[in-house]
Amino acid sequence: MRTKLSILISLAATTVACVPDFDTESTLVTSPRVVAIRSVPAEAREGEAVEFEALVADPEDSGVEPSFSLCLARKPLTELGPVNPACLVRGADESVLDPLGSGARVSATIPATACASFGPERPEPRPGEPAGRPVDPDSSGGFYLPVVAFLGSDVTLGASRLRCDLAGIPRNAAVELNQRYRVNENPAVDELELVRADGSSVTLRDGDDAVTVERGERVTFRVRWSECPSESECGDGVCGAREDAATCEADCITPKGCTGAERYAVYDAESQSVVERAEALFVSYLASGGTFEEERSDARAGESFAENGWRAPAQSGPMQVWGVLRDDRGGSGFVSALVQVK
Amino acid sequence: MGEALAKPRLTKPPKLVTFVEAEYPEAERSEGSTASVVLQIAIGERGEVTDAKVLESAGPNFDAAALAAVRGFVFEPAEIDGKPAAIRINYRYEFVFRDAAPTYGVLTGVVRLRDGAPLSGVAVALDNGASAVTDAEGRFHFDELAPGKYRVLLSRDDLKTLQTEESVEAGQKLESTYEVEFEPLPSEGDEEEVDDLEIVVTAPKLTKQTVSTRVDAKDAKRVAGTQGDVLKIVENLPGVARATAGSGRLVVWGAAPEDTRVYVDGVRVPLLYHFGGLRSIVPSELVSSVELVPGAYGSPYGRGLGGLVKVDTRDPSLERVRGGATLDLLDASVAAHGPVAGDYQFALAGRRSHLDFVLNQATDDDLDEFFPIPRYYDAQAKLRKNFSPTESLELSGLLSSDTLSRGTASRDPADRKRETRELDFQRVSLRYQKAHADGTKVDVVPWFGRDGSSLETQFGGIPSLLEVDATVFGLRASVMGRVTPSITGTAGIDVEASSTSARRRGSFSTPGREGDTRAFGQPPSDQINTDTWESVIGSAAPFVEADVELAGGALHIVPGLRLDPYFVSVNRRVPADADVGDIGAYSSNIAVEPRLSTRIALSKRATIKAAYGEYRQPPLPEDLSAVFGNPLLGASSARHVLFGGAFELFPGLSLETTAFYTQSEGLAVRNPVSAPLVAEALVGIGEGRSFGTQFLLRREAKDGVFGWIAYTLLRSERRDEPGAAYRLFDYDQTHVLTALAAYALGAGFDIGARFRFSSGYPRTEVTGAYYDARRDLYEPTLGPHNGIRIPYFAELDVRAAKRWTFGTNELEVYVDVQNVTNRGNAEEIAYSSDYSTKRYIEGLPILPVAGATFGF
Repeated sequence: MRTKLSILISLAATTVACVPDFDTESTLVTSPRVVAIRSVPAEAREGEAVEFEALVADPEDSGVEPSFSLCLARKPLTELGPVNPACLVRGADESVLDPLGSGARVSATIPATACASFGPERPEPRPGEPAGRPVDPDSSGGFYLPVVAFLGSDVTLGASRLRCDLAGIPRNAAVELNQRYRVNENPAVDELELVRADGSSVTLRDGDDAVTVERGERVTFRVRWSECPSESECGDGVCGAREDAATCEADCITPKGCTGAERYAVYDAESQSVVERAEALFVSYLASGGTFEEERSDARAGESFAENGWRAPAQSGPMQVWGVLRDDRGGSGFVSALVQVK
Repeated sequence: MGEALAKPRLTKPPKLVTFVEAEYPEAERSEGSTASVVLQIAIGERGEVTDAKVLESAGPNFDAAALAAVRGFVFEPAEIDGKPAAIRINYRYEFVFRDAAPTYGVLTGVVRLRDGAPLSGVAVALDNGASAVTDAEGRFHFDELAPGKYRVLLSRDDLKTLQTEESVEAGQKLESTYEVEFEPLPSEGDEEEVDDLEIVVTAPKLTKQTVSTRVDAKDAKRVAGTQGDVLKIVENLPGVARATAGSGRLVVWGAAPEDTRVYVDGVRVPLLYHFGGLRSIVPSELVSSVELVPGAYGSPYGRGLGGLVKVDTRDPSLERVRGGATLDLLDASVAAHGPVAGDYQFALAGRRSHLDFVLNQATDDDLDEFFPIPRYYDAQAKLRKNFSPTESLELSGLLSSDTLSRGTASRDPADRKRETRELDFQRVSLRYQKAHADGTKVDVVPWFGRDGSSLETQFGGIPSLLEVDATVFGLRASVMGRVTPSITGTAGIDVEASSTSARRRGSFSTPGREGDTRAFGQPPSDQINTDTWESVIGSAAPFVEADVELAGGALHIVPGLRLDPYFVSVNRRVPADADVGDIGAYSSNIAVEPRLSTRIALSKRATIKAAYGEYRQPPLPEDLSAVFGNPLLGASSARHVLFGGAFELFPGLSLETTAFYTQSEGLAVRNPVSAPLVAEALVGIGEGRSFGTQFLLRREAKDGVFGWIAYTLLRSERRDEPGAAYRLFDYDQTHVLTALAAYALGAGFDIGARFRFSSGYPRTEVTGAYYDARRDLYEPTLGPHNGIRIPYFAELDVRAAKRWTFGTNELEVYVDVQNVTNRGNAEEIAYSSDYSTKRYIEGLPILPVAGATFGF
């Protein structure tokens, strides 16, 4: 797609100026790239096992695989990016990077100090000093253990959402949050549809024959996901924020999440109370050819799908299309399909 | 026997009618003693001195001076027996050493037409009864004026009478140039007033600070690129970095913008320019002059590590209601001032922007998506009572409001952005001024106000909000007077207190801070928090300053001392915890801030100067959060040293040069440790230094021409913890050159041009990028902090104006064309979303702004 970088992307003081255009085909994948890292489960406590899965967009199907490492270095407040820069250096000291191995899927255990290094627990004090400042959460109340994937010269940062007990919040709120909070479930793509200009559509499934589109044809990709219940209702298959094992055995003996836009409880520091929110989901698009109109898109209110226009390239051939569905609690799901351009 | 001859009888003694003062011998000046010479003077029958000789000597130098003086005496002749007759008398001439320690001031100057032609034969009369007539060069001179304000009347038989006002200070020589536009007297029956034509008073020079540049309002309005805004002239003065297009930030001698303090009539205000930097906060119609002191200022001022900007508003007209209105692309303003009942005068002014309205008429697009259009208004009011020419009381009000909003809607959630900034402030002040006949001046300004600001952003779903609401109070009181014949003293107190409520939530990294290592356009951190806090910061700083005159006024030594105690009270020492309750924090400190400046007049045309000062600045209320900042932040401090000289190269052409060094400590910076303590997100461990030199080659307004070339060579550095290597300050500019000139062509035509050149601001180079799969965006990897620069800036602006006068009214129409060569100046480095490509955001293209000003 053609990205126009607006001055408005900046919060700096420039008021009136002439903005350059960048002809960046940011959705075009021409070499193997890690485009998503999924933690399974999406959220875990210290000491629990997780798997990290990489979605490698590999237009040449070269079969390359990334190597993973857990980042153990806490980020100083002077670092405005998401991770300590020391963790971006391949081969860094093991106190900084804990190697997990290579492959599309690797296993790890959440370190015992994760909530102190990356979460709401106060870090170990230096001798003679009180304990330090806890890490700030994201807007969903989440804390994340960083994981780094190296593929060739590319570095990709992934994360596993940490399930930590909040400190420093009112006791009542802590109790309520413990009762109502449900760990995040990775979202999943239910369907990937290709919609033509005449309104006809076809569902793309992994392993199916490639769908054919004309060279230069504009089509729409539509990504669908599950609808999650807006109210907690026993028997709907989802253990909602207002249900528990005592009130709804069916849903909560083994808590079940929803692979769509889940509702979740979060501590709101401003009101100092527990509030309920719904996840926001968005889809990122990539292709080995052609041009997407947007890099990402999300659903309109009340809908559980997102769509994006794609113009097929001028040359014939098979084109791989990837979609990554993300929720705002750090979860993700993948989909890919093959399109034949003639 | 005949009648005996009668003895001649002195029937009338001689009377001295013309006294000539003897010059105190230069050779005896170092002793400074008194002396008397007794002389015998022979007076002729017409009263002239025909001979003189010394009877009692006081030394050859005194004798010679006395003889020279008495030979110029003229007497009413003595009479003997009722008839004029020659006579000899004895006369004691007393020499009294009178150093230049007057309780009087001097007013001198020149009267000329706007094209520069001097006007002779103009009667210059003061309201104390003194008068003078201009000579062939248009010059006039008044000695021994008691300090105070004087009404100055200019008149000539064939011309209208004009009036203005001057303030004379004890021990000061006020040099004024009156550029006048005379019109023939009205014919008989014409009832037009005869005293309300304009006088342009240019460049009164009263040196008060060691390094300062003062510009008169009338000159400043003529400068290209300012769109007629007098206060925008500050951006063109030496020592001031060029602000990024549209930012209006004042960076003086490498100090952060918030470190330079701005005063309007002695009242501190939070900003000089409205958002966007397009306009100042005081309409030009009300501005008398503006002065920039880039550093090393005296003890009456403090609480700032950077420079000082002082704006003086004009006194309301004493004669009749006057005023004006201005309309251009950006805004419209009106102002009026004049007398009301009794000895009261008023001034009122207001301005409102309409740029948003104008641009929205010109396009169907929602411009906020492309350009952030500033919206602002301001208003000023003043009520003044003159108890006498030297005593007045003034009640003033000032308010200003700014809103700047920009945003973009997008189907891509990561591209949805919105930023809204607001700043409102109000001030009410009372000013009492009195100048006593002995030269003592009293100035008292209590003031009160409110500052409210907010910054709210949404950046791809990451929210951020900072709201600050402060009630502010200040008192500035000073007494200046002659302590001894050679020492002028000033003593006073500078009080300021603010009670602030602040609320912040959202990303920790927004708003950014100086020293942040980041790339332009880098998304904010998605780690968020929230806090509300209240703080009270107070300080009452007594100060003293003495101006010690030595060597007959050639050497001035000005020591000063400021005692700066302050306290900071914050309602939360640690982040809010509902189960524990709030624990407040209180800190206080006291510092002695010495100041010293010296000026040595090597000759009438050359002065050298040096100054040193120590300064402290309390923490900003927005930095006192227990979550985002540090409630126990201390004051930051700075030292300024300068050395320089001022030289009059030719009459009206001067060169001023200053070398300076500033060092600052205790600057609030983000805590660099990986696990900082609670409530220590900021720590006062930053250090800074700036050094450089500035030059100002200035031509005073003469023959219709004025202008200057200002050049500053500077390096400003910071380090974010002690012992670390210095890095370039975010606002460092190595070279800043401004050359400007304005020329009155005659017949009401004015033209002007301004050329500016400056180095680009430092930036941190993007060396690569990595992909954040959780947020689906690229993050930059960065090279050395501020290791590269934006390319240099060069711009030429021109201005043309035509003025028509209709009786007492005046209309001026102008066109101000900014960037007349349409050069694409880089203002920022922008990157593609994956940081693989960089390009420059360019500043304004050619921008003509047309406007009109009507004055009555």
